Amino acid sequence: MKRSYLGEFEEIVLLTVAVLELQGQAYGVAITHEIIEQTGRSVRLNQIHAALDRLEEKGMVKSEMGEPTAERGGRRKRLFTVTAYGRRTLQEIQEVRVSFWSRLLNPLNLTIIGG
Amino acid sequence: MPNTPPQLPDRLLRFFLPDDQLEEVLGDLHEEYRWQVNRVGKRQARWQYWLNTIGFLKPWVVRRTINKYPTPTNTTMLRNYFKIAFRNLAQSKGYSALTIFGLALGLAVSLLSILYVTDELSYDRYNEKADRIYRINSDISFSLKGIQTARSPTPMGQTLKRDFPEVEEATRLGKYGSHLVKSDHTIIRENGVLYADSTVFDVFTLPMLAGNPKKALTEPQSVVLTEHTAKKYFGTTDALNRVLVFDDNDIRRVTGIIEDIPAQSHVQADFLLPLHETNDAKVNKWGNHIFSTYVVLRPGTKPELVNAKFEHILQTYVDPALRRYFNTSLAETRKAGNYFNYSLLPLTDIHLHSDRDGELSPNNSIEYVYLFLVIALFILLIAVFNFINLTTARSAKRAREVGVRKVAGSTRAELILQFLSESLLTTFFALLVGIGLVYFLLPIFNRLSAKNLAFNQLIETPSIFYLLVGAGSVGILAGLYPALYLSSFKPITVLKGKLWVMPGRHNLRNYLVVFQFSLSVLLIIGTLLINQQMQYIQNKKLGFNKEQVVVINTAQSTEQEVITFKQEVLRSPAIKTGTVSGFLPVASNRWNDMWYPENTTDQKQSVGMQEWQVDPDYIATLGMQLLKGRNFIAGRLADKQAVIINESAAKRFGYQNPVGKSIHLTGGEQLTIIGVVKDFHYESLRNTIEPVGLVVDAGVLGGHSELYLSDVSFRLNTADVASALATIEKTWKQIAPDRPFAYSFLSDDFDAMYRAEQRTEQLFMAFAAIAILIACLGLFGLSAFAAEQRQKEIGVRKVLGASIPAIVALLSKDFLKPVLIAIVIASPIAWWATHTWLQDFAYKVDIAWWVFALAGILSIGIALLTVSFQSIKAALMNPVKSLRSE
Repeated sequence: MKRSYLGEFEEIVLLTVAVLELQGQAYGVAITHEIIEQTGRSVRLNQIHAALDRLEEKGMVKSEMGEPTAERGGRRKRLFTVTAYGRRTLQEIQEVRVSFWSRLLNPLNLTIIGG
Repeated sequence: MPNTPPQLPDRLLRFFLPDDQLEEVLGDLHEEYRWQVNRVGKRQARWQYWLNTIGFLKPWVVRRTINKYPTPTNTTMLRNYFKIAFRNLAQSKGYSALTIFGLALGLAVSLLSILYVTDELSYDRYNEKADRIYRINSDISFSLKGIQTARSPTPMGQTLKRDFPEVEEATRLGKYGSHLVKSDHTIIRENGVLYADSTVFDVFTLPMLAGNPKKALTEPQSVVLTEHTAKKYFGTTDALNRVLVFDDNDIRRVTGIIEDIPAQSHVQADFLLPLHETNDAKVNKWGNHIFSTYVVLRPGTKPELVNAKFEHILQTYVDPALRRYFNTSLAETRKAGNYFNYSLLPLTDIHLHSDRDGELSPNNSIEYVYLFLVIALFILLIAVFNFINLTTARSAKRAREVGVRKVAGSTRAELILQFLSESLLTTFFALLVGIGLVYFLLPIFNRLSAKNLAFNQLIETPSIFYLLVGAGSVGILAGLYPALYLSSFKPITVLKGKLWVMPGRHNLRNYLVVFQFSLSVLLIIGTLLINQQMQYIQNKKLGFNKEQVVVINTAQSTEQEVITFKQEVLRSPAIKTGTVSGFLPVASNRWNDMWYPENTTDQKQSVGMQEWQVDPDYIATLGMQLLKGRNFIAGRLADKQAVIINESAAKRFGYQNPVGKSIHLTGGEQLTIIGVVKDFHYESLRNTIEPVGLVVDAGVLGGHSELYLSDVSFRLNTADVASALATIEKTWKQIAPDRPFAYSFLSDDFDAMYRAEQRTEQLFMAFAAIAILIACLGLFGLSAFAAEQRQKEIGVRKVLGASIPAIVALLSKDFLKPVLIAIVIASPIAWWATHTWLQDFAYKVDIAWWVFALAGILSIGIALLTVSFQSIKAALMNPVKSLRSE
């Protein structure tokens, strides 16, 4: 199965979008703060924007303009949501990892014993 | 304000980021900034803000945006229009060449005429005071002979300046024929010798290169030269205080060098001599109209104000003069029906609005300039109509494109803009070709119009601007109708594949062809009639024989020299007769006086008659015919009181049998009429023949023997004109070794009187040819197009057995109709126009019907020739080819 390559940073951004979109807060500044808070990395706004642009190009997120707020000087936010394709990609990555982790925790291949 | 982020990064982002990203990025940055201000303080937040901004300004961000979001503007579509226009021109090269060449010819003719007219209108405007300078015109009738002259009484100028404060300055100019001018190594007969008051430099703008303008013409025996003349005589402009000898004994010192006088000046001179030293200026009589007077009015003075004051001048100065010299008074002579009218003519009106007796140089007339402009406009119109015709005729080719564009969402306005930009492009190509044509045609045009127009005038900065604007308006004029027409197509009709049907017979295209050919026919008839009139003038019985007569200029020679010269030359068998007289029936000396019939001094019975001093061989040499009485007899003393008059004079005096009657001047001797000579034309045939009297001794009349001695004419008796001339020259060199031998043929002098008419004729001919050429280019294009359109029809007709002549006739017929209508329309207009022109001539041809017939046949012939080329080509085509092509 051919799948688009997703970098580690992109994966984190995509995950953050998936989490924040539940509260309708998946936009540049919020995503940046969330990543800084959760990972402790120092991330810049423009990096997040670039990643989001790439994700949108790959079709994993889509965006629409939200409501303007005062602290933005009356400008609108660009709100992102994860597309179905994005979600499936995240799941597939997760499955691959789970499968590897299960082998790591069970090196004697207990499936044979259990079988 | 603590909460505002720095301005500069925002500005950078606005400039570099594409619009669609800007809102989101700026919004995020601002939100982040506030958050950071609360978290780490303003200083740190500003630092962060800068870092973030720089993060966004990456080259790939900038680059990507251009490709991703193009910003269409008006110029994008315009560029597309020009591209399509260019492709269209390139696709049908033949038609494009026809349109462009036609327009180029039209534009070239317009450019030439603009150059010509600008030149004509710029006359005398080089003078800084041009709008304040006026010439005094005189309309005088004395003894019931009216004259309109450019000259005014000798004391007039100074009197005006002295008596009226409105007159700032006055100066007089005058000419006394030609002079022999001698320097150390050259001797030349000069015509450009002008006498001028010393104030001439205060009136006209004649920049002096060397010498003092205040004194140059006040010093005795002085002469001012132009730069060109100084070089001619001394090889250098550094000629102050050098010496020139005028007419053998008049030694003059150069006191000034002026710049050459511009060609656009009615005052032309190579030498300026002090006028106040002439005898006429010293006599200073109110009755003498010898010099032209020019005045400068003070700024803001209306000329009418001065015109109103001439009556005061008449009462104060002319009335006493009349009482003193003529024994009459102003009131009396006015009662007898005479008048003295003086008026001011603006300097800038002289060249185009004045045709008076005694003009300093031959002027042009404003009618001629208008005629010229109108013809150029006609030709431009013919070219514009060509463009309209060819573009609309080819509309079928463009119909599908219009349909597709409309379906794709183009509005009508956009389509109009597209077709207009196409015609603009075509016009600019035509302009380029036209300017090239002007470059090559200008020398020919200069010869035809006797001008010296420079090509450079066209390519100076302001004129290039006007050219572009002018060509632009021509392009819009030519393109507007086709644009409206083409953009009106209904997409549904043209896209259904329905062949575009040529609209009915009475469409605009036919009207335009009619108009084009009307103008052409008009010009053909004009040319034919001018040509006829010229032939008529040249061959009219003139009353004298202008062929085989050579005139030798002997001015400034003594009577002894002239008579010896004549006798010596007559020894040669090649010379039949010879006569001494400066009065010839071409442009020559004239002398006017008032004559009274026997025993009367009543002004009402007086006759204005010219008196010409001749010798007894005059009538024989010039081939005139004596109707009554006898000729002068050489050496007979009594003949000094005799006069031979012409028929007109006899009629004016009212004598049935004039021989034996006597006539006299005011207070002069009685002269007996001994003969009557047949009327002969001595002025342009525009004028009627006026009374002339021939006398052998003008001494009895007040004397002007220097005019009498100024020419000797010989009638040749040989075909070998060259050797006869050589003999005459040899004799002349023996008698007057230090004088140039200047001769002319009477027939050439005669032709010179009609040079203006000849020029009109040649220009007319050239313009008529160009007009017809352009009209034919259009017709050629239209017929080619029609033949192409009816290809299939012709194929079918041929298959069904039509003959080639039948098909040629079929195709040509359509084009002959508009030409025929054009002839019908143009003929009456042409008759009226030429009739008006001929009114100027006292002697003229009748306008014959065959001229119109000939013009008609000519234009039909030319049109047929043009059309038949295409029709025959179409008729000869193999029907298999045209029918298979589906």
